[in-house]
Amino acid sequence: MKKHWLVGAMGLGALLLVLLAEFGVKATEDGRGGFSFPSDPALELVRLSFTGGTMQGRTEYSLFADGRLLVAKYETEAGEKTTVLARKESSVNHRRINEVLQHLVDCGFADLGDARRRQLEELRPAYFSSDAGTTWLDLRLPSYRGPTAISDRSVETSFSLRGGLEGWVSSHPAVPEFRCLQDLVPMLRKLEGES
Amino acid sequence: MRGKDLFVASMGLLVFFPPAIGAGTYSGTALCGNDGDCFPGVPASNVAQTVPPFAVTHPLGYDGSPDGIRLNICLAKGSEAFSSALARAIATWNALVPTTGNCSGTGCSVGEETPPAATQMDAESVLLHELGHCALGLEHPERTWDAADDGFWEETSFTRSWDVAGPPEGIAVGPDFIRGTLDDSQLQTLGMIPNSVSWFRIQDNNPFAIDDTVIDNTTFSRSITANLPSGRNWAASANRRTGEQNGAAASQAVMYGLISLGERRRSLTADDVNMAKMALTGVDFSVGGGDDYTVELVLSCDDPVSILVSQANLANPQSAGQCIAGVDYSFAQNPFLARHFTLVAPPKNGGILFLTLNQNLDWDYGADPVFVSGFESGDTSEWSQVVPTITQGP
Repeated sequence: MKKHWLVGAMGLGALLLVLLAEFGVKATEDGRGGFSFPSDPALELVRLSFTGGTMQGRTEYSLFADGRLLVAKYETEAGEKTTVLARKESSVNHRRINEVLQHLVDCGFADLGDARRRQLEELRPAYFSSDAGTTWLDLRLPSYRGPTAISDRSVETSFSLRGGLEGWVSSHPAVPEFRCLQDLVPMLRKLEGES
Repeated sequence: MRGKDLFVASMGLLVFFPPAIGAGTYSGTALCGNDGDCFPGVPASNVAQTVPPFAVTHPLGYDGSPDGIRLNICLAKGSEAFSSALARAIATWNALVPTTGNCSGTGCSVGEETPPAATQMDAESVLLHELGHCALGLEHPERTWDAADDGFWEETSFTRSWDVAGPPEGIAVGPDFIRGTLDDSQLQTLGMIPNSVSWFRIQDNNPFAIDDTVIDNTTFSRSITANLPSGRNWAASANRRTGEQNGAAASQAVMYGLISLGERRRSLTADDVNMAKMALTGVDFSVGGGDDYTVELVLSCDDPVSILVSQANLANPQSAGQCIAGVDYSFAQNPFLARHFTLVAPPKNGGILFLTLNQNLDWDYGADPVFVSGFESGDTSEWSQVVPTITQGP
């Protein structure tokens, strides 16, 4: 009888792990923020945009709740996207989407309050590249619970950096937001390559 | 023509100013940040200070002495395909020969234009541009601008400056409808004149002019209020459209910040050469003052390596190449009056400036020369034997 209980508990535990991986976590006990997977499949959860650099236009990586990963290059005029120059759509699974979202949550982007934002904006990069352009992150979580929060809230946050991620990381290696943004780039490129 | 430009221009007095242009600027003097307009760069040793607008950035290792500076430029293993293009780019900067008509290929575009479709990026053009940053300390002559005031800053052809008011009043194209010319207007809040960080030629404000003018602070200025020819609003910059206006067709500064796929800029304009020479005047900004110095770029991996050229997966896919660098005081100066700054590398890079090319691009490496070691240019000093040409008689 004991053996059956043990097997059952292990099975339940494994099932729970799979569900957490597939449909998001809301675990605040370990000090991490958690989120529920959005029910709206069309919701754009993450957008990472690049403007400037040595080439014209804007490149965007968009990750949607239904697993679509859209990489598009746009022509722009006065900051507005006008023409799609190139477009590639691929599909990623929920587990991978969760990894991206949890990465951004762990870096603090879901809890990026005014005070922290001011702190970051007051920093100056001692090292930068003139040819690196602007990096812009948009994050949307319809149901997020912070590490110390008791209820859910929606998150919609934007964060941008000029002068190149590499330069900001070199200038301020201890700032997690900069490193996190730099790490997000290969993460999305890997997803693009995997699908 | 952008609607906003047209509107602003139509609000102004429609007086045609004779075309005039000019500019050049240095790395670290103005960095565009998150807080609105471009703001001053900071010295690496004291980020609480700022780099004044009228500073000059000198090459790695410059300390104010008139000694010649040699910069060893090493090409990393795995990037050997760039070898010939890098050698040519190095030779071009060493020669400092100004040219016109340097912009060719499938498209010679300014930032406001849509370049023709192309697939390959010209390696020599990008290396020439990046060496301008990494080896000479030059910056783009044009500036970014958040025209829509939405946080997305874009390269424009307006001349570089700082302390400019936000849109819509900060920068406006003039009656000629060409960005980067002398009839543009740039304003601070309350209508004050912002700082130009671009040098212009006092004589005619033409950055494409090639003559025997000595390049120093008697012939070039950054002072909009003191030294611009009368009737002009602003220093202009060396983009292709201003070149056309001044009789220099298909010409664009190598340091102009945008390079289109298929575009080639393999030789320097006068503006590129003038700005490099301005730094070489030394501490006094005057030619012949006893503190002039020289810079020699050498393709070599011998110690000490100054610049390492390699390929990597750059974060911004729109960036063909990057040089991560900072600036610091060339020697002890009053922070508020400091004019001379030297390029420095991040400590983690061991004093070496990293010039990184985007490994995801389809590169055009250009044609290799048939002969090397100066044979085609007539420099046979490295050859052990030179035999006179044999010609057939009649």
